[in-house]
Amino acid sequence: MTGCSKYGSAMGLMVAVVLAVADGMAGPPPERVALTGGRIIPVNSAPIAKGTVLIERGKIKSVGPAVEIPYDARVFDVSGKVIFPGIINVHTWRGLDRANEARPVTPQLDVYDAIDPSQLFFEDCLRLGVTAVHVMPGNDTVIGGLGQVVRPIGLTVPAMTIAPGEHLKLSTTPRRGFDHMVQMATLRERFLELGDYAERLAERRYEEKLKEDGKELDVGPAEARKRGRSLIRAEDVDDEHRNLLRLCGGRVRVAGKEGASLFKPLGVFVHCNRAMDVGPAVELAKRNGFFDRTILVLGGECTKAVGELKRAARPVVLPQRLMYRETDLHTGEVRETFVPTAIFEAGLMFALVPGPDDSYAERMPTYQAALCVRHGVPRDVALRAITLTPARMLGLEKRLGSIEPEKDANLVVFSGDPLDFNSVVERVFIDGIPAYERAKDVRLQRLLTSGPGEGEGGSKE
Amino acid sequence: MNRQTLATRAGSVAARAARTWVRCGLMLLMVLGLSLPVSAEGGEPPGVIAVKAGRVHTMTGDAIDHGVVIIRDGVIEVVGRDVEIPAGAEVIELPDGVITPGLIDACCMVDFGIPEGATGWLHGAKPYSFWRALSEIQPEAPDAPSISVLDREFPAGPVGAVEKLTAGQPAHATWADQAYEVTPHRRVVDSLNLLSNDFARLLRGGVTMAYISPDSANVIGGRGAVVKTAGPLGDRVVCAAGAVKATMGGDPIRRGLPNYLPPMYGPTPNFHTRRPTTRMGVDWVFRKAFFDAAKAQAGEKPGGADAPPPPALPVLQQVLEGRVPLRIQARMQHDIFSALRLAEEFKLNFILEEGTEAYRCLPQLQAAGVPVVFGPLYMTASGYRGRTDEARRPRLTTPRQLADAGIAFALTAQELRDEEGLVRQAMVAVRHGLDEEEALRSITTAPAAMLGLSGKVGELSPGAAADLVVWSGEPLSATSRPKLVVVGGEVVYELE
Repeated sequence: MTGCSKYGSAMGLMVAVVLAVADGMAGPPPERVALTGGRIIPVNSAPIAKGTVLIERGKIKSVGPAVEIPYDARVFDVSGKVIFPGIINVHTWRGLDRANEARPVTPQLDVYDAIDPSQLFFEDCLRLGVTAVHVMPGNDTVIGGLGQVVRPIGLTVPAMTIAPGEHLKLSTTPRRGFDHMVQMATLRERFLELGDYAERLAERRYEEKLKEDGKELDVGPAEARKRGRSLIRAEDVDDEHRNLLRLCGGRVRVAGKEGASLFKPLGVFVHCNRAMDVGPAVELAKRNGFFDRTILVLGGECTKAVGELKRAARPVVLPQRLMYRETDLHTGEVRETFVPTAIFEAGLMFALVPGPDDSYAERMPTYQAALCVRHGVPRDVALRAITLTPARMLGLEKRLGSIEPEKDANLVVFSGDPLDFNSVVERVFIDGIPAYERAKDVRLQRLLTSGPGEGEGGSKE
Repeated sequence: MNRQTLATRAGSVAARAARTWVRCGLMLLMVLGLSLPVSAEGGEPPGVIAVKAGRVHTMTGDAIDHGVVIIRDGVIEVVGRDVEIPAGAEVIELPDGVITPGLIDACCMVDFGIPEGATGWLHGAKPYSFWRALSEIQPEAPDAPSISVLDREFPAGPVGAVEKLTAGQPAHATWADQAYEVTPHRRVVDSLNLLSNDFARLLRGGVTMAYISPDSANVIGGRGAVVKTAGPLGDRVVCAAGAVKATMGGDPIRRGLPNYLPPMYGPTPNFHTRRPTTRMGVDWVFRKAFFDAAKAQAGEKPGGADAPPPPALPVLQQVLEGRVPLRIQARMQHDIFSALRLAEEFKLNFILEEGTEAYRCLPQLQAAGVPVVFGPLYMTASGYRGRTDEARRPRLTTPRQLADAGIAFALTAQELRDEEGLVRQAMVAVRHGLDEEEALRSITTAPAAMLGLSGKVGELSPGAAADLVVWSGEPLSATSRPKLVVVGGEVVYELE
């Protein structure tokens, strides 16, 4: 995006963030914060017409219509407003400098190295009420890299990190320049090679152990591998194979048996743009033992594979454009399918992502949820699809996605109902810190309130 | 600039526009009235229909709760709360529905979205690179079936690739004719494909009437057309010869077809294909055209370089006399000022199209009494508009600022559809401060007035055309969609 010159330098962002944060941090952030008088939509329970959210040390302490507020709490009166959980963007390449590496297979890459805290994208997240972003490599890949869940505030990546990377990126849709045969062959070959690597590693470890003990190699390769299986340590596995090993369960498999658990298993987001890509994704996942940790990132056409998706019963991430349009080659007839309705009616767990940047309304996750409601998805399902469901998919449901005690105090204050297009994000709290205040959003105010004064000075002649 | 009051100036513009439109419209409506029973498909004229809904926005007064709209023979008979439904009427009841008049887009571009591909490059705004375009076309196997691009077949292989590149846009695209820079004698209605899917898409978004504007490749382009988006083919074109479209700014410069083709792949630049390459060139072409028209009017023979083609002169004379309306598209502040300057020079009244930076020219537009067809709204421009450098300073609050300044305006989505379509433009305008009633007016009665069809479309009053939309909720809500669309008294779209 060539937006930098349009919106001014990154310094503007720094200033805005620091100003916003500084408002709540005259010194360290207040230990107790209370939001009072607003309508609360906890998402996992019934809305509270008028209530209080009490925050203590960055976690939600209590929620209810009548909560006692400690004397030393910093109180924000949000009467007439609506308090909503921080919205979660469950899958995006934004935040990186480039979506994908040029090489097709790069499981060793980590978005941690590429997240740019000064990007305007993170500033826009605050304006839209997004408090957690799962930054992932893009879709133009075979095996991408490791993703990371970050908050859109913070001046360094460690400061932004909510949780370390727990998901790898895979694609069964061919990357640019590949076709389906090459894509699937590459994927299969990589997992096969993992097995070979484990065997070579076992053999090597057994030889090393013998050398340590000052003994000579006494058995053939097959037996050496069996004996070496239990000798493999976490630090022996190289970068190139570690993430794939984690994806397959974190245990090495040698000579038909699994060794000790070396790493925490990884989940995976598999990109399936077309209906034909869903089956291979499911098959690959089942064959390599990561089916239970698979999330499918769907394209619009995937409603045609709804039967397979239903059988797989895995969570799915919906495409940016929720209305899939297809022109019949022969009749010229245009068929429109609203993807979330088909997915919801199949009983699948689904998450919504913000739409493309150039569509003013669709780039708001709340508008995507409103679109779902428009086409018949129940309101609470739509609201969950931008909050609790993404949290669940990311394994962070204990920390994010709803307003309940002990969860992270990530809250958004809307001026009205979140699905009302006239509602705007007024305040955002991240871990109890007042991270955004619309009244102090300098860049936004400039975009919205420039008056005729700016235009004067031109002469007509 | 004469300091006439805004009201009279706007009134005189509207009046002049109205005269032409009304002439067009009345003629056609009379013809339609006589031939309606014959032209209606299926042979049966629409009888009496009663549409009942939770709320009716008539656009002539307060909204009516639990209102009923009675339609007879394609025309609205009566609208009210406790209206007696005639015996034998077909009753459509949607208790949760909200009725509005059919929406009117005052500057619609139809079939504009030529897919990004070989032919898209040729007419794009960026400097054309034939070699880059050629390399991006995947080579096909010699026995591959030929590709069908926009209804046309090209042979496979490199020859086909070159043909595809140099073929130009399909003949039904409503792009400007580029034989000359001044083509007010061309009519966009002659390029229209009334069966295009684009009209169905507009209809699904609640738009029942559109002013089709020619695109902006020529300094003085063709004449627009007012069409209905549904209904029997014979009734679709309401006005075949609308306003003449002129364009200020970079579009005519950028879109000169022959300027960018390498010599052996296109006509060599010559007198007829040379385009202005600067804004002063654009102003010169405009000035020269009207100067020559005035000369011809005075009986003298126009001469000198860059004379407009002879068929253009009679139309330009009619524009000078105010008998044919004029629309000028301008995005940037200095281009809007150019338009105002040139209009003052030739004593022309015009309607401003697009007006991205109108917020920077509010006093000048106010003083000149220029109505604005404003849109689309965006934060970052995309597509063709994004590739021009003219859309870098948009403001989402412009509709509210136009309303506050008392400037007559209508909203338009131009070539955008669905979530960026006309009703969503109004929704975004309301989000940024425009009053809801004002926003609804800007997509119903305001464009109707600009097209000279006040009282006939854009409102639900006795005698108006039976064009209405029943929405699933309040129309400007994100959770609403059209459930039923009626055009000319016939149900043309129904949500399953």
